Amino acid sequence: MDDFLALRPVAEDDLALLERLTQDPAVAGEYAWAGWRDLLRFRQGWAEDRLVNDNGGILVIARKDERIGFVSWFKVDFPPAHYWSMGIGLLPEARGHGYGTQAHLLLARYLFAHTTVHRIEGVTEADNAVEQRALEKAGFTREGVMRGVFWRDGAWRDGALYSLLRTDQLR
Amino acid sequence: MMPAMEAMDEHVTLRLVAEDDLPILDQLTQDPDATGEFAWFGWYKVMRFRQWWADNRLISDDTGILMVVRGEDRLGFVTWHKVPSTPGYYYWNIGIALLPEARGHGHGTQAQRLLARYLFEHTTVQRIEAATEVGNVAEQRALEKAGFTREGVHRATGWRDGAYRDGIWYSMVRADQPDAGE
Repeated sequence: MDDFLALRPVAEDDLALLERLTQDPAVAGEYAWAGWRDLLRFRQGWAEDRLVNDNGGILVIARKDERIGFVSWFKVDFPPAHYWSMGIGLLPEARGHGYGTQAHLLLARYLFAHTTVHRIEGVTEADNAVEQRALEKAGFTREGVMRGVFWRDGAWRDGALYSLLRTDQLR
Repeated sequence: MMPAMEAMDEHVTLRLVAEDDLPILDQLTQDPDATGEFAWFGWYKVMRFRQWWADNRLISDDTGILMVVRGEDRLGFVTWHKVPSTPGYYYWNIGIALLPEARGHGHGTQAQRLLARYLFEHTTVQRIEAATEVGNVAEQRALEKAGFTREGVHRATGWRDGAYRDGIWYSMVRADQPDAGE
């Protein structure tokens, strides 16, 4: 029970963590390593709006005094409505403890509390069984496989799509 | 109205939008009688087609609109827009709107097949997707006949007429393309 996670805004000294989780292949892990690009984006975003704005955001996942990763969300426009798509990056040593499940739930509760959206979705590679399990344990419903939706490491990859609705039973 | 005696060899084709087509685009998005139940989302950005036509004739790197015609008859339009994916990769989401009198003749199937072929020929994408409301059986049939594969139901993706609506997702990947010349 002392294992509770919390989400909080990104502080300046968290930026190196975001960069490691996206720009260091050994830390990002197989499914999140997509090459170097836009290396200053977290620093520029942090200077601009601390990485939270009307179109999305990034929050740090904290466990006691540790930082174990981040969650993110961005707006999917579907005029006249919109919904959120969310993602997660966990440090290698934080994987396999159910933290991903908890963090997904915390972010979903946060977004349903503070925005009017009805739907939050998460997409992961069809081979990424760990993330699929985390989404399912967090109460997300699998909606289908989207073919050829990603490009990673020299090949097109299918994506498994999950969603959580405001009217679903939140765990 | 569609001429009843149209020759059998009048195939559906796609062409650029001309200035005098703009009222048809307006009608198919802003007149509830013409849009039909599933494409009426209220009035918004009512000048957009005119502005885009002035800007770029309705074709840009991120989006495009072409007229669906059969001989001299204008049947409606098709659209596509870019869906960004992983870095350096994107795919297309396509849509269609046909005038009421042009529906129910298989023109939607032909037009969407032509658009998929056009996009696979001229862009490097691996995937073209289309989404339609669960209740829109005609469009689901058209996509299936055009060679698209049903991927699943995405819950509450759209808002129309006072309620969230489920969407059915379809895709065609490059290897699925129906043989040319059909």
